[in-house]
Amino acid sequence: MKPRTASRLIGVCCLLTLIALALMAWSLFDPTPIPIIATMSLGQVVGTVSLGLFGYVVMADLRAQIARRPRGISHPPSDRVSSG
Amino acid sequence: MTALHFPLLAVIALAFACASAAIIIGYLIVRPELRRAAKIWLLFGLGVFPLGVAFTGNIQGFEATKKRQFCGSCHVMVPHASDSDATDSSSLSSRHGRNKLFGDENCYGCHADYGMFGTVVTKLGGMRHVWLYYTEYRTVSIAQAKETIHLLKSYPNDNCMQCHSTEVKLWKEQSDHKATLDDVRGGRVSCASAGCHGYAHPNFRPLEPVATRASNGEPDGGRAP
Repeated sequence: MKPRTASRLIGVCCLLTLIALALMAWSLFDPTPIPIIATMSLGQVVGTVSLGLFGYVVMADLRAQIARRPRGISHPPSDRVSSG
Repeated sequence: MTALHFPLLAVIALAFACASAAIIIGYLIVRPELRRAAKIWLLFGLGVFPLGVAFTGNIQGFEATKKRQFCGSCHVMVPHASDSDATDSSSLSSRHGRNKLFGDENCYGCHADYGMFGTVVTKLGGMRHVWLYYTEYRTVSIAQAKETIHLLKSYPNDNCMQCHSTEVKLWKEQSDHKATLDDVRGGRVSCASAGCHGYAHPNFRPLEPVATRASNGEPDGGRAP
């Protein structure tokens, strides 16, 4: 996944989470049937989709990092301990 | 909007929401490169804190649905909720509302189904009420609601017997109780009937056959909440 795509998807995650937070907070201010139903259904679905998308981006990024590593080296060069 | 008296769970949920929103807005403003530190911050902003909001918000939501204020938020229930709230009313619902054990959760206390799955059954019944309200009763006037809304089925004595066991000596010695003991326990004589302790709500209408109500042209054929 290209860094620009990843960044754009993370932006979408952020917006979705903000919408989910607003929906989930709505029932705290207005504890009537529709806000409570919206909190427990729509708010949580949007939040879950956002978290799932974030997980997908992180996994894709991780896969790309692993693919970039040279074969036979289990750790990135920066993690190696200098012997000298 | 109802009064802003926030219980502890609501405060915790709001704190989680604020923390999450702060991280997200911070990320959107700064737009750092997606390295490990940013990912960890985002894990909290997009995952951990929103899960906290959902968890505490759900519990708070369930608690809110038990309140009389919640039941009275549908306008057709206002007469029942207001009577229940009135300190000078002598109706069964009001008397139970003044009891600390029930307090402002007296609607739920008396109408919740008893048993292992009582809460789930009650919530499903509540969803049905919400559906009926928004599809059939939202525009019905209170005067018309008083005339048309009925209980779906007879009020079960089992709900009364959660507290009034019918086993206490003093209760059994009462002549009416003695004469109707088996019928009360078997649900054939309602505790909340005109001949016994009276209807729970002043504008309550006793159960009529659905066919009769449907023929009267009532919304939902009279199968109201």
